[in-house]
Parts: sequence; C-alpha cells; structure tokens
Amino acid sequence: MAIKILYTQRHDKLSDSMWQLKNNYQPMKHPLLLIVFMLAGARAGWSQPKFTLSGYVSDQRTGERLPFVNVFTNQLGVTTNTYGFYSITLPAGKHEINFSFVGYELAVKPILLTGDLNLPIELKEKADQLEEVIIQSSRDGGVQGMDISKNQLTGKMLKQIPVVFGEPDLVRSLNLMPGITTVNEAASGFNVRGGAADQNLVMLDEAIVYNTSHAFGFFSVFNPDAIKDFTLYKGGMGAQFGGRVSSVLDVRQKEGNNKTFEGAGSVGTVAARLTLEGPLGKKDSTGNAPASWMISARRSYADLFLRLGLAPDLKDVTLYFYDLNAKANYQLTRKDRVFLSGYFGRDRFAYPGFFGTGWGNGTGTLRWNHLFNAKLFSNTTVAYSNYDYTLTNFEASNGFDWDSEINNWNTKTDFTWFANDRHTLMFGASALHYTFQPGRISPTAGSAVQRETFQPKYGWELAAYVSDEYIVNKRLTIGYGLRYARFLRTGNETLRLYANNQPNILIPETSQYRIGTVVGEKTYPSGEIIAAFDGWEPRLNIRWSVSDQSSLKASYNRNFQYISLISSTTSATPLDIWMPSGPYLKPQRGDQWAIGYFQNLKNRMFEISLEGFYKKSENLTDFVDGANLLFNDFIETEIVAGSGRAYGFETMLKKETGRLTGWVSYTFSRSLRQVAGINNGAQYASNYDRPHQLTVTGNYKINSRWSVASNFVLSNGTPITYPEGKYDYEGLVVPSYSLRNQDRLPTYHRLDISATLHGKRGNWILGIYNVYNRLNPATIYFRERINVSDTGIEKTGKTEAVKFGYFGIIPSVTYEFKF
Amino acid sequence: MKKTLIAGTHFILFCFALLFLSCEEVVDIDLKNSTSRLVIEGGIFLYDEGDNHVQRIRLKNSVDFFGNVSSESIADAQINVTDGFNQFNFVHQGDGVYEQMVAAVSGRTYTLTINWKQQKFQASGVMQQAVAIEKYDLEYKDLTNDPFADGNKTGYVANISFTDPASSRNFYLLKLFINGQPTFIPDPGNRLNAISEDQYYNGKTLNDVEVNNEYLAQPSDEVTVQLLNISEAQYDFYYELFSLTSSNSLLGDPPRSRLIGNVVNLSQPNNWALGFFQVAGVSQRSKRVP
Repeated sequence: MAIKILYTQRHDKLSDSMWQLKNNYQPMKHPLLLIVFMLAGARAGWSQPKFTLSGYVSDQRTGERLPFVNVFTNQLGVTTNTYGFYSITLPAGKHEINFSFVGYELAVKPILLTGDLNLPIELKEKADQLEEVIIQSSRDGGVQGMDISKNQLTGKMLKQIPVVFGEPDLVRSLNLMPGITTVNEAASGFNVRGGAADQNLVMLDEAIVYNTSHAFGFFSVFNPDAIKDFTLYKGGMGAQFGGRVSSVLDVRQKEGNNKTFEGAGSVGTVAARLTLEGPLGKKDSTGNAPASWMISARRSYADLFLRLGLAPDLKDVTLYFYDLNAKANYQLTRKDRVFLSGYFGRDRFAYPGFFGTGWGNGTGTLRWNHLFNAKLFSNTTVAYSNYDYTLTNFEASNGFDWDSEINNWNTKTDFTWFANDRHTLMFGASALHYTFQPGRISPTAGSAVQRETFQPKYGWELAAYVSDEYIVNKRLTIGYGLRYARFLRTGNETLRLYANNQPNILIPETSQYRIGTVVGEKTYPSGEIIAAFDGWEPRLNIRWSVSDQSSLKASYNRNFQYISLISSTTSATPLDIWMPSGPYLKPQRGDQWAIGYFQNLKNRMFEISLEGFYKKSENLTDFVDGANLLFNDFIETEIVAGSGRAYGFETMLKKETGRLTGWVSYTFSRSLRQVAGINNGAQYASNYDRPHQLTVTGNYKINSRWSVASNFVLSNGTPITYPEGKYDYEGLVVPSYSLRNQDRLPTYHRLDISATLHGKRGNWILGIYNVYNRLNPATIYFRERINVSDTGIEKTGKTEAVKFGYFGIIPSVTYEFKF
Repeated sequence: MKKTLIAGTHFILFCFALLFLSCEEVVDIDLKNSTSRLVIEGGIFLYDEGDNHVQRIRLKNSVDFFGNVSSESIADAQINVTDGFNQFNFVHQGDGVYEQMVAAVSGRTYTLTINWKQQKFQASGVMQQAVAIEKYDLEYKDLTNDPFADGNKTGYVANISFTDPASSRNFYLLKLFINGQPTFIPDPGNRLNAISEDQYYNGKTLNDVEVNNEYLAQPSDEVTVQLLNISEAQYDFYYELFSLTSSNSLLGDPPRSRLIGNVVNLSQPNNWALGFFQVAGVSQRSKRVP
C-alpha cells in the first residue's frame, strides 16, 4: 500500500525568490527574519484561485479521532493533526481525495470543489485486522513522514509485544526501539540516545508526568487500555515542544466511543484492568453523539495473594498500585470541542508497625479545540500535574511522615494555520508555573521527631514558538521553527550566599570538592525574581525524497531544560528530588544533529531505516564524590555541572505486513560525560552508555485463533565501578574505589515469548519472560561475607563479588475480554 | 540510633519489596586494577570521664580486593601530633599501632604528620567537648518474631540518654564494643543508626537511644558504648564509609567513589590516603551483662 505524494512542479516567482532568501539565511543569528520570512512565504499562495477542503477524520466504529492520517490527491498530500483535523487547499474543480491510515481501509471521495468545503470522514478498520499484526502507523517516521528520529505506537500495538508478567507496558516496549535503553530492569524511566531519564518530556494529554514508574520501576504508569497512541521524538522535535533536552514522549488517552457503549478488561498475573466508554447525548444523523466518555482503572493485586496466606509473615503487608484514567469530550458547536481528562495513579507499600511509602502522579487537562475557519485550527490547554511521595515511620516513639511534592500549572495555546498548499504554520505560547516542595517532616503523636519543612521553590517557564512546514517542491520539504523560552526562579525563598558565589570548591591537589564558605543568606520575598534565564531554540527538519520509496532526512534541534532531577542512584526509587535552575544550577542545554535514510522495499512490506546522531549537552548535573543528597536543604554543595556528548547510529529493518511482522534493530552509540573534579576531569562513560544494542521482535499469526510473539535483546552491560582494593576500618571491610565507571557489567541478553489464543469474547495470552532464565545483573556489589546464624553474626573478613538481578524466568497468563 | 533518626528508613523498605523478585549470586570477577594505599585509623580523643590519655593511631596498607587478609600493618612510619603547644611523637607498639600519652584539650587544633616512604601525610581537627551519656542501660529483648532480626534472637541491647547542646550544631557517632571488639557490620542501617546530626533535635534530650541494636549482647559480655561528638567532616566520612559498606544494592547502589578522609598526601597528592584522623570528644560507659 504505497502512498504516493505528488506535487506540482510549478513555482511562482515569489516563492522562488524566497528560496533564494532562505539559502542565505542564518536562523540562529536572525530569529526575527525567520518569522518575517515565514509569513511572507505563507502569503505566496494567496493569489491562486483555490478553495479549502477541511474536516475531521475519525474511526467509523468508535468515532475516535485519528491523528496522522494521510489525506492526498494526485497532486498534493497532508496529514491530520494530533486532533484528527486536516485542511488541504486545492484548485477549484474535480478531485479524488484519498484518506489512508494503516490498519484502515482506504477511503476515496470524489468531490467537485466550488468553494470551501467541510468534509468529515470516517474510516473503517480493515476486516482482516486479525490476520496480521500492524506495527506501523502510516506516518511513523518512515519514508513519507516529515519527522526523523520518531517512534509511534498505538495502545493496540503495545499489547502485541511480550512483556514481563504479561502486563503490556509502554516504557518496556520503548526499550525495544533503537536508541532507547534503561539502566536496569527496575530503573524508573528510560534513556534516549544516551540521555538521562529526567531529560525526557513525558506528557499524558499534554500534562507533564514526572515519574513514569509503578512498583519501583517494574511497570510504567500508562494503562494500555486507556491509551490511544503515543509518539516518541528522540530528536528533531517540533518547536511546540520544549523544556527537556533529550526527547519528548507524547501520550494521548482515548476519547471514548461516541457511538455505542463498550467495555474491555483483563485479568492478569499481577493486575486487572477494566475500561468503559460510551456516547452521551442525542446522536445525529450519522450516529455520532455530541459527547463521549471513557473511564479506565487498573489495580495490581500482589498483596491479595499475600493475604491469602501464601507467606504468613507477610500477610499484613500492603503492596499495590493502581491507576485511574478518565476522559470526556463534548462537541459544543461544529467549530468547538472541549476535552476534560485526568489521570491519578498511586503506589503503596507498607509493613505494619514499621515503614510505609507511597507515591503517585496526578494530572488534569482541560482542552478546547476551536476552528476559526477552514485553515486556522487552535487548541487551548490548561493542565495541572503533580507528583508526590510519602514515607512513614510507624514506630510509636519516633514516628513521622515525610512527604515531598512537585506540581505545576500549565496554560498554553497552540495554533495550526494551513496557510496554503506549501506552508503549514504552527505557533503558540505557554506559561508554566512550578511549585517544588522538597520535603516536610511531620511527627506522629508522641514522637520525638521535630517538625521540619524544607523551603519550597518556585519557578515560571514562559515560552513562545513559531514553525513552518514548507513544501519547497516535489522532493524537498523543510520544517523549521524557533522557540523562545524564559525561566524565572522566584521567591519566597531564602538562599545561602557563598564566598565567590561557589557552593563547592575544587581542591586541585586532591581533585576533590569541598563545601564552599557560607558568607550569609538572602531572602527573596514572594514573587521576586531570584534568577532568570532565557534562550532561543532553533529547530530544523529537512526531508528529501530520493524516490517514491526512499528519502533522506536531516534535523537539528536545540533545547533548554530548566528543571533537573537530582538523584544519586541509578535505581528505582520514588524519592525524586526535582531542582529548578537558579543561582547555583544553570539550565541544561542540548544540541542534537541527526541524519537518516529511509527506504521501502517490496511494496512497503519492508522498511529500512538508518540514522546517525550527535548530541552535545552542557550544564548536566553530576554529584561530587561522596555526595549526600537525601534530607539535604543545600543540594547545591553536592552537585557540579559538566558536559556530555553522545553519538551513534541506529539501524532498523521492519517488516510491516504479512503473517510475520516485526523488526530487527542494531544500534551503536556512546554516551560520555566530562566534569571537572570527577575522574580527574577526564571524559568517562555515563551510566547510560551501552555501545552495542541488538533487538529482534517478531509476531507471527499462525491462524485465525493463534498467534505467537517473541523478543530478543542483546546489549553491553552498563558501566560500573569496580574496587581497586580493600582495607579494614574499625571492624568493617571497606572496598576502595578510584575512578568512576571504568568497568562494565556482563553482557545483557534475554529472550521472551508469548502466545495468544484469540476467542470471540476474549483472548488468552500466555507469556514467558526471560525464557532461558538468565540472571542479568542490575549491579555487582562488593562486600565482606557475613555468616548469619541463630547464634550470632560472624564477620568472616573474606570479600566477595555478588551479582544482583531482578528477574529470572517469569511465566504469566492474562485473559482479555470485551463486551 | 534508630529511635531518633529520620533519614533513609525507606532503604530497608525497598529491599523488602524487591525481595519478592530479586536474586543474587556470588560471581568471579577479574579486577583490572589494584592499588595499595595508606590507611589511617584512630586519632586523639577527649574523654569525659577517667584519665584515659593513651592515644592510638593505626597505620596499614589497603590490599587486593580478593586477597586473603583485609589489610597489612605498617611499622616503619614516623608519626607525630602537635596541638599548637606541644609535639607528641608516637611510638610503634606492634601490629601497626602507634601510641602516645596525650591529655587532649578542648578547642585546640590537633595536627597529625606522618612520614612514610619519602611521603609526608597531614591531617588536622579541632577538639570538642564530649557530650555526656547521662543514662546507660542494657535492655533485654526477644526478637523471635521480628522478621528483620539477624543473629541472636534474644539478648541485651544497649541504650543511652543524652542532651544535645542547644548552642552548637552537633554531629554524633555511636560505637558499641562487645568485649573490646567493635561491632559495626556492613549494613545499610549504619547510616541511620550509627551517625546522627542534631538538625531535628537540637537542644533536646534524647532518651533510650539504642546503640547498634543489630547486636544483642549475651550474658557475661562486657558492653561498652561510646558517644563521639564529631566534626561535620567526620560525619560525612562515616556517612560515605557506611554507604560503601551497605552491601545491599537493592537500595539503589550508592555512587561508588573515592572515599578520601581528612588526610592529605603533601608529597604526591594523587596517591591519596584512606581513613580518617579523628579528633573528638568521647563519652564512654561500660557495663557487664549479668
């Protein structure tokens, strides 16, 4: 199913001259000129006698709006935006309009265009859907798409990948894509092209998600039943995105079926899910209700097993997570639609009389889509996000609650202007207000612990952007844009002042940091600016269609990041400490260049992609040797800024149609850091450095009832520090470490398989994670062997290396049903 | 010091949660590098009771990680300590232990100088008054039903009471000796139980603070407790020392890094020394389990 996008060869004089101008143009130096140019370019087509065809594309069965659908004539092609809206400007006369989206039947509408026309389209899912597994959306970064370094999947595709405990998981599936890794199997978050987990902008319905982990990182917070689709931009992200230097993960929840009520659910090894959706209000002649809703819930139930008495010692343990997703939308008028969506998820672990902890995200989003006219689409969003965790010590004499929180309000408005057949402009602005509450300690009744509140921190992140996707000619399309962001750290806050403005000082003799001299304090009243930063972020995407079946792409993007996650560990802790930029912490800056080649083979049965990238980052935070980050109100003394670079290439061969689908990908990449005072100032491998990474994932449809799937992953272990010796100190045997990350964990490899039995009402999914039961180490630690017996604790003085891993072989069974 | 400490209780929690799934095994690792370094143990202490003026400093070499011994004693070094008024030359007594009588004085700066193999090492610290142990008890415990208890399930736990001085920022180190032997075991709990700062209890009296409650003393054991009023630098050193020996990586594998105390190699800075020259006020009490 090749999609041919043909363009007329005709150039008018104005756009030719614009092209000349563009060749001489230096985007970094003259941001204003860029905007002037874009507007001038946009005017170029207005003199032509043309009309605009526009509308929404939706799923015929559910009414769910479909983003990224190809809409094309034999002359011109566009795609629907993230809300399923398209606008295409054509000369008056007869046209055949094609609507194509993978997994859906091609729709062809003959029209006679005599004026602007609104044409909503419903696409029908392919009847043979069960016969093959679809792993590709039509615009998945591939040959035809504008974007480079992009991966996209739908909730449905997610469920076809074998996973641990049979629980379909967005983040674990991402790890099968080239260039995406995690530090270990229980690490929270994910690492994109050698970047840190906090450098990913993760959004659920445009609200920021600060921590993507459930159960200490084994699962992610995204309930696959509630997700419509997600897109990951590893680079070349549009100017509408900002605030993180590494990547953007844009997750959208289902809108809800606006035709009929339906439900789906599952019962699995660790969790159960239930999703309900349906229409609201009186249906129109086409069977669409003006409103629809969706609500989805998931809960794990490991604790219920414990309560059944399998482990009597643990029967009072609380151990669970849950998610609630809800969304509703209402079509106010033909031009206005509002969406209200929310997410609330929580983990809870408690051992009665001892300790408890809980953490979770909450988000809420209110959106308003408005069509000014057939060419101008707008979306206005107000979103709230929150992440918090609590620790409780239940001991009566010194019990306490510790809680910490980050939240933000974000207001933004985005416009898409389908200016003419060559230019699609996007522009908008946003204002984001952060509140950081690093910690509050509240004693429980009768406790000796003192009440303590660490100082809250506040910040504003303001941004505006404009971008244009410019179809230069049949072969060349250029997307270019500019984002401007300004960050204000504001009071009320009292900051320590240090001699020479240095919270820590590098002692050259020992190449060690010492805490700087505190010379005073300064109190900033509420709202007063403590520090301000700003920066221009140019974005550029170029696509050159070598032929109908192959294209070359290149991109450049610069991003600033104004908040950083301070964590001394590489592992799964919910204890996230987010720090805003300020006098002692400069914003991170990232630049990335990427180039790629994409080729379709055998009528799109196969796609080959090759991408190379180079990333440079400044002001990355790292920790001084021996940093003490927890319960520390003066973290600036424990962190230092360094620079990082990452480079590599990613190759992927995808088979997109047929009984057997899947991909093979191989990535070579490095991720390096350089920080004064760490490893004597020499460059060293970051915690996310895995030079070689091979993934194979396949799905085979045996017949209409059975399908099987499998993953294989092979990669270098992550860097680790081994000791250079040991010594005893007051009875403790202490490993002596020298330079960081000079060694590497053993090679990681794993095979997973699953089989699905498709039934009329539901599917049985049987899975085995880590089939050959390899203990892939998350770390190796070095310790003295201690013999513990009922008569005492014996220190042996003998040292040993111990490999520690999370998952051996894990079988799972899941039943999924629909009604 | 579990009873008053606020920090990091979650660590134990994590290990517990992950216990359900995780597994570990001993492996053979080839370590590429092995470097031997000077280790300094001991220091100058000011006791709140008795004429305990014999000061001990022990020198040793770090060894191969998988070696059969945990360190090698150094007998051929010259050690002296000055307090701004006097110089005390330490004499090797065997097994790497050097001794001298020093009657410590609060407020003085003690500077250690070691000459060894043509290298000069130096460290210093300011003496602080001891914070007195006001009450010291041995309490019988039966931990038969405690899933977290290791070793002896019954025995005596030492607990002390003391009053934190309100006028100063204080850092504490709690040591427990049974029959003269130190009882630290590699355990993440050390960071919570063995060291403490007064941020959350400045000026308050702390009652019945348990001292290394992992260890249950048995009948006829001589149980000695020490409360050391230490510097922030020494607190940081122990924090890191306890991190590096918290063998339980479930807790999020603390960053492994050089642990350089306060001893500087003036001759070859890159050949840094390990350990810490302690200068601290000590309150010490002993009791024998009946």
